[in-house]
Amino acid sequence: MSYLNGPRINFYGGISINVDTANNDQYTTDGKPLLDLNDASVCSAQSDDDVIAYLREEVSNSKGQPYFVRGGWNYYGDHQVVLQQAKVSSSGAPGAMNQTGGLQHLPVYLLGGLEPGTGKGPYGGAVMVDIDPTSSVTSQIYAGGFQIGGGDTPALLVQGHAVSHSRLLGLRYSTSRVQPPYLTPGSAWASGTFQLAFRKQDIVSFDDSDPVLAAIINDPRSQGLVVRYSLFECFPGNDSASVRADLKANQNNANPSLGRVIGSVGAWYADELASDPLGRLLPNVKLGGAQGLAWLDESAARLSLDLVSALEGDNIRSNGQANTGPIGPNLDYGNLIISAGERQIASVPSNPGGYYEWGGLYDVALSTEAVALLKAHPIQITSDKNDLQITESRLRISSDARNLYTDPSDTRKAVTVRVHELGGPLLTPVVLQLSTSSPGTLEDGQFLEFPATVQVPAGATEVTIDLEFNAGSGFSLLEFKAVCASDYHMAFRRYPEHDYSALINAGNIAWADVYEHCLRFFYVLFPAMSKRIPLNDEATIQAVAGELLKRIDESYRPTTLYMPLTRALSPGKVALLRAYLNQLNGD
Amino acid sequence: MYNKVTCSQFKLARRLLTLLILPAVALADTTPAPAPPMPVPLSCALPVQAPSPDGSLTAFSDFSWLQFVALNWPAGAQRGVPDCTAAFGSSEKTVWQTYKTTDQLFLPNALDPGPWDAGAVMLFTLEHRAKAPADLPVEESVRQAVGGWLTDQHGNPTYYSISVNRVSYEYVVTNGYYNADIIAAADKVSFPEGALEVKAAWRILVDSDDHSRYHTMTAQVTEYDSEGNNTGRTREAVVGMVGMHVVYRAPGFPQWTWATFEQVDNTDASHGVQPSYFNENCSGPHCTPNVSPLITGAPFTAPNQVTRVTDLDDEVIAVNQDWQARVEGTPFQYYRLISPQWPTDPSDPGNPQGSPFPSTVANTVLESYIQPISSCMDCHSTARVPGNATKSNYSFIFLFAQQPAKAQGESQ
Repeated sequence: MSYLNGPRINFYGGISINVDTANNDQYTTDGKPLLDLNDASVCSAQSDDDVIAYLREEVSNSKGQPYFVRGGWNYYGDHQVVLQQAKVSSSGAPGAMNQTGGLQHLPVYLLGGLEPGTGKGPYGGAVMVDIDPTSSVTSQIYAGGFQIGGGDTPALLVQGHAVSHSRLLGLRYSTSRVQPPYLTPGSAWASGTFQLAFRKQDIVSFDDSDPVLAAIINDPRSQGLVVRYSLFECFPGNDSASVRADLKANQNNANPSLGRVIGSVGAWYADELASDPLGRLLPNVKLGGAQGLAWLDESAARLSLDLVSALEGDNIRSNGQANTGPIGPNLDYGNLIISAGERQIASVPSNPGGYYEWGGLYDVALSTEAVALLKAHPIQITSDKNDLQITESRLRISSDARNLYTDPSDTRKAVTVRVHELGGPLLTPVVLQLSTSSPGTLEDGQFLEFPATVQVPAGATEVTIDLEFNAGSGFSLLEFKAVCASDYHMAFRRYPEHDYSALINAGNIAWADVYEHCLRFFYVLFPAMSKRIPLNDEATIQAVAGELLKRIDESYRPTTLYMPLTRALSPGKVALLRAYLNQLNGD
Repeated sequence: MYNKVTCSQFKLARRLLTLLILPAVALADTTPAPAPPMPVPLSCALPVQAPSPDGSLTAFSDFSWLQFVALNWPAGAQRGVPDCTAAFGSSEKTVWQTYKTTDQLFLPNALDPGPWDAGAVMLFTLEHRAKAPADLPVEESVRQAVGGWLTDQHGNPTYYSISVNRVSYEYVVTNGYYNADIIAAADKVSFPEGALEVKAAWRILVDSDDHSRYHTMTAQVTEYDSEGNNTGRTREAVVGMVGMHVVYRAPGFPQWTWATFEQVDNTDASHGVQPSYFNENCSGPHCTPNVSPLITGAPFTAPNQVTRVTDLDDEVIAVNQDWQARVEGTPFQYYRLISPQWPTDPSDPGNPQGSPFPSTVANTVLESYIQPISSCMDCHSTARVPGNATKSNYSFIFLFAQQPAKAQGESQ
């Protein structure tokens, strides 16, 4: 089972992603980096004010065009992720979706997390964190809940900590055919899909009288619910000139990436991963990286397709701020033609103008013969307009292990990788080939020790691989390849060894040491933090020591409240900061 | 930039324009000409409803000035109530100055401060810094929320006071939240709609100051030695208001609405008056502006150089010009709104902080040293009850909550 063949609630709207961009680079000057992103330290001998001024300097891109400031398009971002006017657009069971009922048009919210221990809050929203800040493939969104409906009695209220990872990353728009209204990052053309999973005990309340909610939550096969959402057309709401003028006037406003979101809520079935649903992988071979999913429901003789991230969009909105109205159309594919075993078995209108109201999902009724063909052969989807070419990856590799933090004291870790063939157990043995590379612009940390190949026998659905860590640190991308499979990767951040025991054991830790080793990096790179707590002010840190002690505790790490949000402090630095804060508290 | 002459000239020009145009209109059309817009009279009534969250900066700036005028209206006989028969600007004792201060709310040993009307309306004793843990030494009392003290160009410290209105006061008293033990155990702090806090900054006026450019009062001010240590003595002094924050729990705004005002001569030399916090001829080791004395090591009595980092928005400037003209002839014409700040998305459960706008708001005498990163709402969103168990709904006043007296035999 998957949300694709269970009851679902679809929604769409806008999204604001307010990531800080200043840590996307180490800013090499005179051959030396200004920052050490792995170490979370400022290498430069410049004053804080000078570093900040440097990050606020106007710069050009490789073509000599004005491109925001050195710290990127959002130096003042605070990492909050907010759904904007996202509303339920349809709900029901596969093949019987409708746009009526009590949920229709209700607002949909991602929530921030409650405080561990006290259960108080939420005091902030969901947050996006890149495990490697220089990478475009290692994004995570942490959330603390989900809600449908407003007011004191929402239709659904879920409160639990969950993290989702960017998947199905690829193009949604042809970079040569459509352009955003002004110079923007490459994300303007891309799409990515995230999935949060909440357990049943996280469901605080729901409207049991709503048949769809009841069907999702009361299903005994369900262990909770998933919130799956695809982001696309994400680019800074303000252009380069506006941002420069804003900073020049010292208004220092954030410039979040504003995008579109299409999502679905469904059951999290017992045999599913938390962060990736079951289903067959559908790459669009003509649009780099674009992918969808399919679920064949044999008993219902129905093929359900998630093509949100597989079909090409027809245009990018021309107003960066206007991300909450109806979503622009897809390329008009006419009818989607589904084939298997070189036989055309079904077709469905592509609905380019209204697909998003149905979650970008298609339910296709099948004949008995078509079911048999789809069980035995990869899915092909073509079109009678605009030449769509989707060909199923026979093998699908996936895992809940997607973005992993490891401490210097960790010596090994076992990761489980799911390998399916045509949506089920392997029909033939498979050899996975493993290698590492750099996830972003920094060099591969090369701290992973792993087998070059892993055999997965026929009949298996997963394999567990033992990884070992050497003494290195930094960032690394572990890639999995196999014949007839789309590549899969896991990203790692291994913290460096920092030993401040001499400082800690000597007692009376000096503010200057704590600031330099633990806080300065964040003071200059993340001014949004200092809008709340000026990190360079000893008296303020003294005044909020108790609160900071909580926020750096490991119990906060899975939450939206962990400090720092970027999770860039090594255990050694956390230990130094904790010792200092305890010292302030008199402990 | 505002100046009195410009405003007067503007009004004169408008009158002349009206005289020139009216006959022409009368000739061209026999229908009665629309009456020229009548100035809206100043109101002693504190506005209740803030503009819509998607309202303009102009709308919120107007709202802020309505608050400023109502709060600075002459006080009546009852605490916190205006004398609407009195002319605006005609009294040193304004409505908000009859609110209860944190001194009157948080009594030693957590004694019940009693009903709102209890006690006489007293002169302030100016000794508290803007935001201070209760257990900080008294010499910390003239420090700003962040960055240390602020010494004016005459070598005198800037003093801060915090006052709360009746709604706020009664919320604290009714719940016993003046007691540090009780507020520390509170499950949730949520001020009712209508709660309001005023944080004000004052400086001692000297003979060379033009007192008519200040809202003044006579206060008992704590005296400090040259090292900034509290001498334990107070003296009576005439002080002038140099800054004022207004924080209001408006209906529909759980993150409150915010506004901050300054006296126009704080840092700006364009009015022909020596600025109170900036000397363009500064010489010596401590002339770099906006750097905390805690960093520079400047002595307590050394004037701190302050400049405005973020210019006022054009919309705010226009609103200021309008209101300064309307309060002309009173000391309040020498005040200007720096900016309002409000949550543009106040009711979104996925966005509890509400997306403050404008992002950066700094008062040069209340946030002198953190202006580039100063944001009322972001800072106050971190406010917590003593012990940190829960947030305190954007209010820092519980930092002043007092421990109850120990019972006899209880260890000290």
